[in-house]
Amino acid sequence: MKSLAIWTEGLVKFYSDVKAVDELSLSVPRGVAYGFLGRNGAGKTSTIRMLLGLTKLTAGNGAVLGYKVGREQVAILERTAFVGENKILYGNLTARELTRFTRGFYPSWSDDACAKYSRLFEIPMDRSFSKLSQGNRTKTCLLLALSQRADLVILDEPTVGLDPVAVDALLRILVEDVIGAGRTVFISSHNLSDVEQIADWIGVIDQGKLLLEAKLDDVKSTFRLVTASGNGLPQTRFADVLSVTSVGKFSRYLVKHDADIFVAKLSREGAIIAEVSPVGLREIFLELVQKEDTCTSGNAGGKPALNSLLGS
Amino acid sequence: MYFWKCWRETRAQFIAGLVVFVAVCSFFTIPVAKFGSPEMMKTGVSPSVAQAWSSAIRMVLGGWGGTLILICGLVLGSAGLGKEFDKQTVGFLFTRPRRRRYWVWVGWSAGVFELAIIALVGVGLTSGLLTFLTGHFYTWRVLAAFLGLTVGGAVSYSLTYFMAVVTRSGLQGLGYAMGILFVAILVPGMTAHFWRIYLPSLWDFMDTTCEWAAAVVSSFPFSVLILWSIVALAFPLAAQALVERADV
Repeated sequence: MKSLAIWTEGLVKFYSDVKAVDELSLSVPRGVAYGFLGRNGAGKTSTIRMLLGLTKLTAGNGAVLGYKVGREQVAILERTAFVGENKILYGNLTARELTRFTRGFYPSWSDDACAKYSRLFEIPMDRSFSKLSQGNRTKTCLLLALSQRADLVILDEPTVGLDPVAVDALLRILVEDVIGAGRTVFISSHNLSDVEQIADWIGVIDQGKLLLEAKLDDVKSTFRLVTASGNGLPQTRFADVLSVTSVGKFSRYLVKHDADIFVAKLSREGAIIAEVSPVGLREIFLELVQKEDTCTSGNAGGKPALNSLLGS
Repeated sequence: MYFWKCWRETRAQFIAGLVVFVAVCSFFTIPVAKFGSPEMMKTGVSPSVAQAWSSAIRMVLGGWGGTLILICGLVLGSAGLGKEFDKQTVGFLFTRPRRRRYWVWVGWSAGVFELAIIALVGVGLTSGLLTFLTGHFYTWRVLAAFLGLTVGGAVSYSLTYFMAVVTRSGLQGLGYAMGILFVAILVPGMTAHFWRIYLPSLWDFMDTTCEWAAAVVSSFPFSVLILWSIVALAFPLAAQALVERADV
């Protein structure tokens, strides 16, 4: 548990009768970038809020950097930098005043890092927060978090409102200054291409349940998308098959590993194998949360959807 | 740091309160000290030094000052921790490495400090003018007026601070606190007037501590001062209990 940056076991969160997080067990190693992915309302933000003590656990256990969630919250917060999904700070304070306010809480705060990142992000330091653009607000929140030099950086939708240059700068900082220094990044984002650029590990959550937790490299090297046609093909998840999508006679399988064995098995059952392809983060995500990849605009590089493959 | 942030965010209200308080004290102290109470003005009798002090302190600080300090308390209380929920900055605040009780008490003490400064300046100015006009200074009268104003203001401030936390809104907290304060002043007045039942009244307390200056022989109402101080402290304590259990 101490060797992990974040550890949870059977984490549950109810809001009235709505189960936001359902028996979630996470293991985030130290010194990595961990992409925490899920659809809107999947339970990502609730999980983060529980880890940071903003909301209480309904059930389960958790630890951040070896400190128990809910019991050693101040120790967790001293070592954790956080940028929430709502980038709201004090409207009448300037970015400079906000850094002055935040600096005092963190012994590890670096003025040099603060000066460097404020230059890099081109933040107007003497303008009131309320008068900043959405992008500059996000940058200010990131500045406050990154200057803490915390052991763990938790970012919830950190690229919202940022232009591509700022996104690139952020990703470089995360890789070079945070992960490069042996610290951990836990990033929750809908922007899968950003996550894919830096993540070593991914966790996919849907309806509060963890669907997948794995090293991204392992996923890319061993996961395969198998498209087959035939009658009576298996339609349920089993063993190494993480998801099944079917249209007519065609079925698409996300296979965890040993795709060759699975393909041979399908062939023996009379299936015609249309395609066996490696998968990117986007395909894995879409397959796991059971959404058709419709290859819409802005979906450059996405694999064609099954319907597209069938020409329908 | 949070104390500084609270000061930074409420300094406009604080300065406005201070300016009005100073203006009121400056404007009313001199005529009251020279001509005494309205009764004295009718009879045309010049007040003695002690009467001039009593009238001025009671009318200026107990009357105008008391009303103003209650209003200052209401305004500053609405800008306390409850406003952080309202403005959605509480998520940022509660992810700084401090226990939640720290935010409650530091935020609360920043407001009380501002109220105490307003009361101190008002009482200091009034007593300074009285000393200048009469050549006398009554330490205990000044201290009594200061304590009365500060504790009275702290009660209205703490009530608003608490209600803003309960409603998670500065404005709603202000509304509820105004209603409660109105009832809390009105009800003891009515019970005393119609049924001779004397309930603890914040207004009477502030009036009494200032009135004490008039009745030099009577003992200072320490028990009432302690009672209202406890009331003022009970609200942030209740706010702490709420905030520590709050889901943000």
